[in-house]
Amino acid sequence: MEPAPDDPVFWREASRLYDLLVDLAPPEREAALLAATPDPALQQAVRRWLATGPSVRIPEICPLPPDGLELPGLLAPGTVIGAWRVTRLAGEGGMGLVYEAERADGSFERRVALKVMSGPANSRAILDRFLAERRILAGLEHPNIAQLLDAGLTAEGEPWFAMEYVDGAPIRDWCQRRRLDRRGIVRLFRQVTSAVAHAHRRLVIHRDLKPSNILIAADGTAKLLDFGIAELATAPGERRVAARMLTPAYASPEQREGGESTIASDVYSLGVVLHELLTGTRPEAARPPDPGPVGGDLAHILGRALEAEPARRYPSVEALDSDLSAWLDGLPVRARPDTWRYRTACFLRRHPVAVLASAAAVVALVTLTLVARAQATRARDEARRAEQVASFLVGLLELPYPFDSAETTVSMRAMLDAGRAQADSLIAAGNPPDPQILESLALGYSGLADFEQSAAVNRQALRLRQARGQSDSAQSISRLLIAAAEMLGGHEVQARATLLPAIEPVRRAYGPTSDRLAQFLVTLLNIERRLGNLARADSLGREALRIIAHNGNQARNALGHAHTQLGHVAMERGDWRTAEAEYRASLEARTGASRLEMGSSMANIALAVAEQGRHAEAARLLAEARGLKASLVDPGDPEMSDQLRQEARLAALTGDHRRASAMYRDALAHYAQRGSSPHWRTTPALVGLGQALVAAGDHAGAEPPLRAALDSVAQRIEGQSRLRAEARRALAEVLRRQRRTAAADSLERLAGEELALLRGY
Amino acid sequence: MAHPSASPSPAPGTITDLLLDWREGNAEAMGRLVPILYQAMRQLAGRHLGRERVDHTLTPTALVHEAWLRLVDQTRVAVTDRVHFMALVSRTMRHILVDHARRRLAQKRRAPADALPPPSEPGDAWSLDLIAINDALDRLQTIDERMYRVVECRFFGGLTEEETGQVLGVTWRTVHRDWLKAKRWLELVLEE
Repeated sequence: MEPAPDDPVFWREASRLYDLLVDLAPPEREAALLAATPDPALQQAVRRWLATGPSVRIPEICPLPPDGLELPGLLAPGTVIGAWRVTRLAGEGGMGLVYEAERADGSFERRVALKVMSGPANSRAILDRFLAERRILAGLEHPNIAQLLDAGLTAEGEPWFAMEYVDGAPIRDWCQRRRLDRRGIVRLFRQVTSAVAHAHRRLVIHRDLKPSNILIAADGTAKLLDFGIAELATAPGERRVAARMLTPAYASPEQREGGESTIASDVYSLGVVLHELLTGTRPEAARPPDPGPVGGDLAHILGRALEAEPARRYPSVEALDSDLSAWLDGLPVRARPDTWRYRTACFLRRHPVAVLASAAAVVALVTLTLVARAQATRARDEARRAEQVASFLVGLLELPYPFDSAETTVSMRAMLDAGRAQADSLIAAGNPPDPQILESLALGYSGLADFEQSAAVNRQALRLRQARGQSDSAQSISRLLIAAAEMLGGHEVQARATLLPAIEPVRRAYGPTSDRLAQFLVTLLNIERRLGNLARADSLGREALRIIAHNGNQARNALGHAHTQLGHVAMERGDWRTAEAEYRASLEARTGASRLEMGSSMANIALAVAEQGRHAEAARLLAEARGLKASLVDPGDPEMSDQLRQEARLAALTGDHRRASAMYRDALAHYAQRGSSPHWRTTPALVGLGQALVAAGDHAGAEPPLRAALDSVAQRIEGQSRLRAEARRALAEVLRRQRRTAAADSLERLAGEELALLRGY
Repeated sequence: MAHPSASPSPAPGTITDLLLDWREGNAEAMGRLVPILYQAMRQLAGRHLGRERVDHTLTPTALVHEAWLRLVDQTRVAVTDRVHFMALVSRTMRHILVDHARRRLAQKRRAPADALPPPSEPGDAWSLDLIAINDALDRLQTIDERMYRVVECRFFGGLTEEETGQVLGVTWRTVHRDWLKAKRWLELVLEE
């Protein structure tokens, strides 16, 4: 028999039909049932409900346990647990008993709530995880969170937690007693959202938000209890059981189905609590909240938080909070700054080879959700999860930028580091997260231009994929991500070694004319081009373009990259016209897709145009590129320093060498501010600076940057490099000024040979 | 390790005071009443059902009535408060029984993997059934709060239809219908 849907709305309707039919004689029931609903599932459920003689019988009164009642240990006052002495039993919660306790050594006066979970932690892995994660929980310090002070295991192996003792009333009672109006309620509630958002930023999901977990102290301060405890108290394998412990009235639809608890489920539970505070009733699941008593924008806010589909809810508690704040201020809710939307769109289209991923905050949110998911039950299959992630990201596009602060980068890194630490502890506890989670973290590090971390985390993901015995083609995605990070980190030889073994499996798995293969070829092309192997780069580019064209030029991201790389190859050769054409083709492929990449293509065109002497046109293009980029990334983003370097090049070509050298210096200073920047960013700036200084007559000043650039190139380039030739030429001028004519001549000759080779490869 | 023995019973006065406070509309009194009641009920249940002396004739009804007589100072409360107290006790009973069932199953699971599976005992089936009913009851709460409360009073507290009706402010007929309907629904979902 079909299992009846686990959906309160379905059953409420069935309940209504039951009442309608129960007093009819059985023969009349069927006709009335068919008339009442066309839904066969509903009909069947009501039929079974009305039928007599089920195979399961529930007694009239609950039988008492047949072999005695084992009283779970009630701790007597005076019992010492860890550093705490129990003073009294204070309450009873879903998972165990709560005692009031004080410091056992009397060293200072502190009342704590001591929670002892019923049921022992039953394996080493749970114990390890418990110990690892309590540190994260202990780090949750927020005025509206009852802080976890201490935790451990009793002699019987039962986890216990000592939390800040909160003397207060549950939020619902408080609001009723004070007769708070809507504004008062929303103001109070924002203390709660602020606390939940704080925890989410530290990768802690509450999972069991409900009015009885939110206490209001006498001074009106809200305190959230039991943060992350629901999560901690259960073993991964028992999560479905744990789902039953959740308070169903406040659980999200996906939690009630035994699914994963995420940021989105906390958003939902907050929505239920707010709905109840405002209207006195809980919302009907899967039905838009009754706008009657709430009305207007507040109803919209509730509707958004209570969407049945997680991806359609507010993607973060910050987003919910900012709408509540807007409502209080009488501002329109759901503001949509363009910047944010474009950043996100940008990120999406760059995936999976996120070169510049300035939409780092998105990655953070994804990471958060994914890490949370990793701890919950595993998603049913890869495809479904991929779909969830995609719809989650798409949902973000319509929301306000949640991290609009100067500290974005800092908090982003803290978040990624926290996510990584958590992933590490999961791995150490033998419960490794899904490799995709690590890959998301790696993308986040890429977004911060920390390619070393990115590559390291991606390698971890590859090891997980290998440990799980995933196919070569599944592993190849990891290899692509690692290679991209290594390449961007300036380790091109290593990147090639990583990527090459993936090419054949991809060719076999996806076919010789698949866009996926083209994507790999374009990345390989990028690596070979950077190594100076221009002939190989060129032929890889041609092959990629053939494949992409064969598939109707659908793979626009790869198409844009392929043309850009071929443009770079042409620039190396000094073939400015071809370069311009390739860059223009790249811009065309990217038009309407990624604005950041459009900006980058425009700047490329500008330089090809400038080399052909069309300086005014180049200046216009560079200005447009700057405008695009500046609207999308932070001023300190390396992307903006690249832009500055390109502007310096134009200044040099127009003969303004003083300005050019100042701009190159600025660009180098910006790179240095970011810590270590890869050579492919710094070397062109060093060469440009040296050239500009030589041209401006500062030969002594030019020597150090030129030598630094040549050292850097010497270590890396396998084939030819225009940059090396230019640096050698400039250095030859410096040497000539020092009257070291022989050395200068030899450098000059090497440069000429290299340029000839480049032209004619 | 055995846990230290439970603390002594609270004085009947405490529970009575809190009950009166609560009936007068002090919501916080409820918050304080529940743990004390819980502790008292555990002792009461333990006295009758402890491992050494299982009273097979005992019913939740008897326990709930005994709680009323032992824990509340009859001279100070109105008879009408009795049913509300018993409804509270019914919920407490539910917690105590479910708690017991969960611990039992958790301890079974804790047996080392290489040991023989522990023999099945009557208490295992009881625990599994009770947890299944409890989970289904949680679902019922999302469908119909009144039906849910009827089950709690009747099933866990052994309250009569009349008593349950007084708690919920409905007639015994309504309770009767709700109980029948809820019971069939629980049977239906437990069949799955």
